[in-house]
Amino acid sequence: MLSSLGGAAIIQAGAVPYWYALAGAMVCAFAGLAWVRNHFPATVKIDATRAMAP
Amino acid sequence: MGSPSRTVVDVGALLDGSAWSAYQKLLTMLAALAVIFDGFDIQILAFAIPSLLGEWQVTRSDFAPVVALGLAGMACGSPLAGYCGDRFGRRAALIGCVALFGLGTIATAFVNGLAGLAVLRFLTGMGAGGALPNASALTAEFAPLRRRAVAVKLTIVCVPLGGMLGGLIAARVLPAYGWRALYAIGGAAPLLFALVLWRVLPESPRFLARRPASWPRLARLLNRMGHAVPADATFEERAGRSGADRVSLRALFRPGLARDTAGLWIAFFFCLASIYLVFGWLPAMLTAQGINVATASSGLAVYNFGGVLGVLLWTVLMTYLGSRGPMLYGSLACAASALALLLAPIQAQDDHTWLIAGLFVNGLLANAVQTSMFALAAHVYPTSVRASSVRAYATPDAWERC
Repeated sequence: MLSSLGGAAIIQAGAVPYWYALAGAMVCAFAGLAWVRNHFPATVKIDATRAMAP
Repeated sequence: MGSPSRTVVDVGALLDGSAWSAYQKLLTMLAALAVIFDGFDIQILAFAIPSLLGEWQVTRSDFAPVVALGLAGMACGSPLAGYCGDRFGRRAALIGCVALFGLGTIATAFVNGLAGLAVLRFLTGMGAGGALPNASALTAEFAPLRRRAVAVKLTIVCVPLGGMLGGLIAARVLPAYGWRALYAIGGAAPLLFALVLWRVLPESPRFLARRPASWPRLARLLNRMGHAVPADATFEERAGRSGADRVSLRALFRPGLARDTAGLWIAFFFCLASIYLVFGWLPAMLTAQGINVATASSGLAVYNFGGVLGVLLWTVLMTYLGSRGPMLYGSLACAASALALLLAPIQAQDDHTWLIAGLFVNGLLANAVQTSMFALAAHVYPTSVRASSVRAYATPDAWERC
């Protein structure tokens, strides 16, 4: 909903602010994802390790 | 429960331990089709705004509350339809939602002002917001456990697929017949499909198992799915009885989880903001630069097409690389692709190949990262927490209970 309201103002300002807004939002998403500690590992690698275990 | 001489069938265990039959796949396809129409109608206003600007003599900012009301409708429709799905059945809720957004969309073809558009957009949003969780829930409840994630993902990926088809249709219909024809098509198709669903779609077996009056119907359904069940069998749904799925929101912020919860919320918020900035405003922004309506619609279609590929590609990538690398690099690359679009020629007389290519890459990465977050959320939280609060954005069940 914020993107609806903010989006109108951004596109009134032109294409350049619009592309910057898209980029900025994804940089913030990157920051949030980097903040997450508990990412999951490769499942294929885990299966291979399990298969090799005695 | 019934007399001891009767066969007692645990429906959840029966479905989870069986193959994914052709009939179950057909039901998944029906749910996915409902989501394709849903994706189309969610984005239809974005395609129509450039045409409406000229016809109604309004500014782009006048549409801001209308777009916001559509999303508000989705926010209201999702939990309401979830409640209806739990109370009256997934089938009825899904058909009702598809019919509602179909009616709302077709009625929009006849409006002549922003006020009427806003009201109908809210109603359409309610239907569209309610259809996705019920379609996903039906898909999940028909699929065996080992195929459930794939089945739900195939259903969810149909949102950008619907947007893509909408863009392709809009690029042809808008220049030739105008926005009212686009709304008429976007409304009539789901209305007809709601009739098909009414004829063909059965109720969720797990839902029927909780209602003894529906057990004969459930026995017939299970027989049709290839399970030999006596007509007088009694049923239970052990998985559905668990009371362990009511956990306080505070559980998400307990030590060890608070940081991950904060990170996930930030990531969800901004990634969705980026996607809805495109869903809501891309064609309007492009036409403001002088690009014609057909090309602007194609831009949004290509963004959605990239999204479909991105979801599938990232599913494979994360299997081999885990979540951290693909998601972090994906979000950074997505930001870089948006900055690269600054360099794309965007005036009416320019060649728009780079613009379209940039939108494809941006859509691929943004949608890939966004859908991957559901898998990450499901991993971050322990089962006891995941079963309640996290499900609110990680699985269809939660969308119903949010």
